[in-house]
Amino acid sequence: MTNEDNLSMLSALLDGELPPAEAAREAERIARDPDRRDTWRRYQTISDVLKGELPERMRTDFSRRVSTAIDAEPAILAPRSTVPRSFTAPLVGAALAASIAMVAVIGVRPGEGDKPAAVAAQPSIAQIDTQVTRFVAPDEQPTPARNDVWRAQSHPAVTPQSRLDSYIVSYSEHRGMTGTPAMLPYVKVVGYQQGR
Amino acid sequence: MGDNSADRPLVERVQRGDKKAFDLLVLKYQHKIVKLVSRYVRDHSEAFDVAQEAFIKAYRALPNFRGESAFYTWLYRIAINTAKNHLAAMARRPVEVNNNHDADDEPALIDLQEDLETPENLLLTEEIKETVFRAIDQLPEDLKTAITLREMEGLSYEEIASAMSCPIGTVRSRIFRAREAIDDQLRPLLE
Repeated sequence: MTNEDNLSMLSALLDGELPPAEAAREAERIARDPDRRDTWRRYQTISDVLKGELPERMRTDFSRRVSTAIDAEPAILAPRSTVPRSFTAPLVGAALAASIAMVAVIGVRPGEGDKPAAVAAQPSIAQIDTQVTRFVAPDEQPTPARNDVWRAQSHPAVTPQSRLDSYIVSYSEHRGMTGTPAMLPYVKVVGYQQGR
Repeated sequence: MGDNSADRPLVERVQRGDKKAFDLLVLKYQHKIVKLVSRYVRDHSEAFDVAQEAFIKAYRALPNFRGESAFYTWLYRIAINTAKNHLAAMARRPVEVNNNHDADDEPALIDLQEDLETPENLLLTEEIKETVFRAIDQLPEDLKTAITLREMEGLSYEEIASAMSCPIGTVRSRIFRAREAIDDQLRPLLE
């Protein structure tokens, strides 16, 4: 690599004109090489002069003083995701909705001949034994609907259909609290007409 | 691509524990932040202290920076808040009149003031500006145009290539060669 190739990448990084992978490599080179780091400083000073961003007074040791102060700080060892939260939140909601929709499609598919015996008899939530209240946390004050949900999730006789019912109830409650999109927009209701 | 993409690799390196990457961000934005803070804090020595504090706060808050805004926009807000907090703190502080100062204190205070408010600091700033503009004037026309469009007009490489009817690679080369020529004259001042 010629000297021009060498430092032209630094120049391009300053302008934000390098592809991400090259930018990452160049950033590492600059961070590790004191001469390159000084060139970065001077090129930035040139830019600041031309943009009128040089302050009235300069301290030539300012960056060194900041660096000394940062050295005394604990290193950042627990990086967070830089994917914007506003981008991921709808995805989380959509993923949850999609998984429920998938369960709905699998659970209610008509015409299956080989259903397990336990699925054939599907007790309603209200008929489930109240014995399993031990699964409710002692400090909770569940509403009657939530109590039914806990029972549905815990009783050995709970079927996939009733478990699906309880997921839907839970999800709808969750949606009300967090404002994430409801499941219904993601579930396409399809009707079949006889004889068509 | 823009400044946000330029900062992203550095920000990510800092978030992985690389403090030297933060030094590069400081070098990039130190002048802007000091100038910004100086609009609020008139005393120059205090302005530098507040700017330093803003960078330290930004470093501590970086684990929570998620890239929803440009890094400089985020840093800008921290600097403004730090400057305003400083002004509020100064407004609350009672004026101290110390009639019992020790004679030994005075030389230290004088040294501090000389360190921060020397005419040499002022001269350096002016000399840097003059050197850069003189070097720009001496550039070949194609290099002068390229770096002017980039730094003063804020055009991207692609836009400059379109304006100058040349490939993007040529733009990159011209801007680099312009910076190199200016740097040759600037380096002795800053070393």
